[in-house]
Amino acid sequence: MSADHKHHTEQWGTRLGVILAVSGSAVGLGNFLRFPGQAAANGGGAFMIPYFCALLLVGIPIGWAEWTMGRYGGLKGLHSAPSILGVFAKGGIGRYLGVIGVLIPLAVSFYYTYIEAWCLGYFWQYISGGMGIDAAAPIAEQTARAAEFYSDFTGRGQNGVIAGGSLATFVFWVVTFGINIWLVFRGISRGIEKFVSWAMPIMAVCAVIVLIRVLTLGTPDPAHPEQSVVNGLGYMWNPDFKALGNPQTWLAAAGQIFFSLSVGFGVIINYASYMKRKDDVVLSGLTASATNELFEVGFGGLITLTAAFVFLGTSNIIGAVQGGTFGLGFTTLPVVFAHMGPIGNIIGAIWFLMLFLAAVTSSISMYQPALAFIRESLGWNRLRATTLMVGICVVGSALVMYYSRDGLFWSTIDDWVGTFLIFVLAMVQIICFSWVFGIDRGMKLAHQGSHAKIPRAYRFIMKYVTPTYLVVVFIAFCWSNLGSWVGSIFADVDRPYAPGLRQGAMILIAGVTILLVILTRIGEKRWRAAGLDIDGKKDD
Amino acid sequence: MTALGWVFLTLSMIFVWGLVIWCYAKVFTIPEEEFERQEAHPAEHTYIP
Repeated sequence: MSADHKHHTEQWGTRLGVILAVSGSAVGLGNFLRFPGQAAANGGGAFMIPYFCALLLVGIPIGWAEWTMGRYGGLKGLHSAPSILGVFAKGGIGRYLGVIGVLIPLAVSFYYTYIEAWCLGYFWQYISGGMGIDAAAPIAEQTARAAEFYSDFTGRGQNGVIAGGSLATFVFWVVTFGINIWLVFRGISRGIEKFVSWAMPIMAVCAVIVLIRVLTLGTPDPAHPEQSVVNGLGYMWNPDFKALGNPQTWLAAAGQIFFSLSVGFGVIINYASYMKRKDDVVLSGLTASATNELFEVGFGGLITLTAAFVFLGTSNIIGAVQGGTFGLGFTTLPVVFAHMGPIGNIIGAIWFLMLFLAAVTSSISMYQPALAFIRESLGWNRLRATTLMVGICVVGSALVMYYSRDGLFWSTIDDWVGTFLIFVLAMVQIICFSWVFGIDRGMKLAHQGSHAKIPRAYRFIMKYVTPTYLVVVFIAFCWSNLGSWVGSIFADVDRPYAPGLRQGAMILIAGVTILLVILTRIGEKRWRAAGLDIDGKKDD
Repeated sequence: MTALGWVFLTLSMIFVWGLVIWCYAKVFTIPEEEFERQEAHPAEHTYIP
């Protein structure tokens, strides 16, 4: 009783703390690695038009809805997406759809912490001597060396990172996972808030150092005068207006905003539930989004592709962009750092330290909603609930690490949970907020204690434009992806040598979902017995 | 880098830096005591049966 009581008086210590925690959750690898690749492949500077449209019409409005719902749920003593969405949907359907808001962060954490461990491993590699890439060798040879290291380190070559000869990867995962659990176990204010309060400024300093180094590179190779910083910026920013006529560009922009801001993830709703009645949510939500945009556009948009272009040139950078987020981050950039001379190892270490911190601030936000939900549904104290959560995560992460070949197992979880279900949860949330709960009531709630005013036009935007925008993007997304995703589950057509990996991942997702539904059912009975307003019948 | 490339780069930077500066300027001008003075909401104390 006393432990439970203590849990539910948990609160953020400062206004800045909650803003930095939500910003930290949003700022991750995608800001530095995914965004520049998406922009360059979809119209360069012209990509920013649909990108900022999606920010203003989808990202920020859903964020405001989540902040408001979370704080309101907290006022009723509720801290998880299932219980809070039950209030906003006025009943059980919302509560059970809210299970998605725990499933997403929990299942994503299975592989995210593994990727986070790569960043720590690369950081360690750089401070202990570098990657062993010979900058004098042909670019293809250097890229092959970086790709070989990446494959060995991440276990892409064969199942089982340890079997693949990289016990170090497992050790880095243990360290990373331990740090995460320790921070979450310490609690909202003493763990998460304290960590983000110094991690976010350090990340900003690291980003500024790397940015200054990249922008002062000039034209490092006199034999290739075209490979200059200015032309590197041009590769990323020169607009191609033809791309605006392609629906794929708008889809990519909406997707980037969506995944970057951590909306529809089940995190903001949990974090905001630890706020007090008169704590501002409007300015805080906007500030968290703005911070994410600074890291994404202000740093990610200037650093990654510019550096790659300066050292690799147009022909090689096209391949780097096509290599996607991880190809760019873990194969191309090590080649770039090798070309920076003696300072390359230092810049590489700073870069991967920054990525590691960005990843930790995101991953702790994945564990916290799961922990809060377990405590809330079972009425367990922090230690018991953490133990159960660690058990679930160890099983999930162990499967991800063992079935590591080609990253098929974790990318299946990423496709279905980390992508598909995020769309679903975002749609559920905005519909619950704007339609079921009511936009006028929702706006009134959002403005309680607010230090900024949401423009009146957003009543219309959040009720009509955001849901429509989401539905259209979701349909287009399903149209272009769902067929191949479903097909690949039932027939390992593209990977006949790795049967069962995708099916195994789907079984894991199903198992975790069933467990969370059972916990919701147990919680529902307890919450009702405690007289909590879980169906949103009382005004507050 | 074309002239339009510079335009898009500059406008984007002005937007994100302007937004972040405006937000944090507002956040830091609100007295923190106002944040700390509030009491915990009553529901938190009645949650667990």
